[in-house]
Amino acid sequence: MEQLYTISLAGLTLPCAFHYPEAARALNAFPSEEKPPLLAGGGDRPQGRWRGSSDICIRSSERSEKSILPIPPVFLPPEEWKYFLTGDMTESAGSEANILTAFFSEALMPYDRCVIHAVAIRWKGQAWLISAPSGVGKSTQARYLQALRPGEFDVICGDRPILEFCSPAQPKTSPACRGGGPASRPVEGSSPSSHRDPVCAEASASIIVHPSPWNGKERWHGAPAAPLGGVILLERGEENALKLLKPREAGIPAYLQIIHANRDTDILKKTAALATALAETVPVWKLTTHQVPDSTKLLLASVFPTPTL
Amino acid sequence: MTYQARPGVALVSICKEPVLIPNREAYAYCKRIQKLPLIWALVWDAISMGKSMDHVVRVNQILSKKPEAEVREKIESVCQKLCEMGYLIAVEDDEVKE
Repeated sequence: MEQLYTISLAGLTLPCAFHYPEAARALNAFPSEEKPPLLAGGGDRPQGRWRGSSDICIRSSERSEKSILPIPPVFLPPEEWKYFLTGDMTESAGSEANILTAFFSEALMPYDRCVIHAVAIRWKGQAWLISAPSGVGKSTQARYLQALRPGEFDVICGDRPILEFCSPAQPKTSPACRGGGPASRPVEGSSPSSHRDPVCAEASASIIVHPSPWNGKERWHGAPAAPLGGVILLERGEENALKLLKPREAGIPAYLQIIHANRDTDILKKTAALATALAETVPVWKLTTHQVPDSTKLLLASVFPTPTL
Repeated sequence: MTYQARPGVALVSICKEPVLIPNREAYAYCKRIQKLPLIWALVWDAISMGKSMDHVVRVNQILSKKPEAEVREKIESVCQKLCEMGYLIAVEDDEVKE
């Protein structure tokens, strides 16, 4: 671990380190002594935002030592590889960038943020998560939403967006909206803009969905962060069906999609608290899909209706 | 027979439902996530805090107002099932004494 980097995720700047420098580039992390690159095509950098060397746009905090969270660098310890390498996966920059999702998610949890396995889409200013285990058809549903209603849906993040919990109902766990720190003390490393974030401040914006570097094989991204409007839990079945779940039906499926390294029971408890907040804050639908695009049309009619003139 | 909570298992509440969740070491022995009836959760919680079977029975007897023998049988049954599911470890009384 020779080189320290910083990465901006959901309004916070985290220190991190990598075995493979290519993993840093894949995640848009920058050596801590460097400034982030200017906007592609030149021009002045807008205050508080920059476009990274790839085409991923990630919100940044102030680029100074004070803005970096005072935590140990997020890093994949060598002894951890064996827990994450499955099938024919090998140690590489690509697998490191992928596995680090869990460690970044755990580092974000004290700040009421986490990484979730979902496609995050944006519709009429609100974010919607389509969540399911791999291979169920999240990306397919998102593609059909865009195809059936051209121009209405954008993608915030194609694989693992970051949730920020700003609920005023949970002030002890969500000072993120006030200062970006954990409940016990203010944190000078938090983003100075997070509590003034217009996205966070609008509506009863309890949960904000942020883009992340993990955009899936399609590399879907581009839409900015938005307050969460709801969740669609996707499963395959014998027929197309849509059901609005009660919170106690939605809690466990939500838990299973929040990413963590599954090491520490305190993290398990925090994940459960975030899953509860998610299930109790926004509507959660279960979409059983047998055939597309019929299941997508069902979703459009009930969850994303077009107002009739 | 004495029981111990399996290390690495956490009892959490998700939307007011008690749930047992193992970490990756404990996951080798039990399901990834298990919703529990409330009485099972109370029993597991007490055992995880090191309470004796007698204590667990006594508390449940007070709450349920049922005869001790009936409560003990019920608690023992719950412990056996939690043991089969991997969330509790059965320890022979001889081992405990050692």
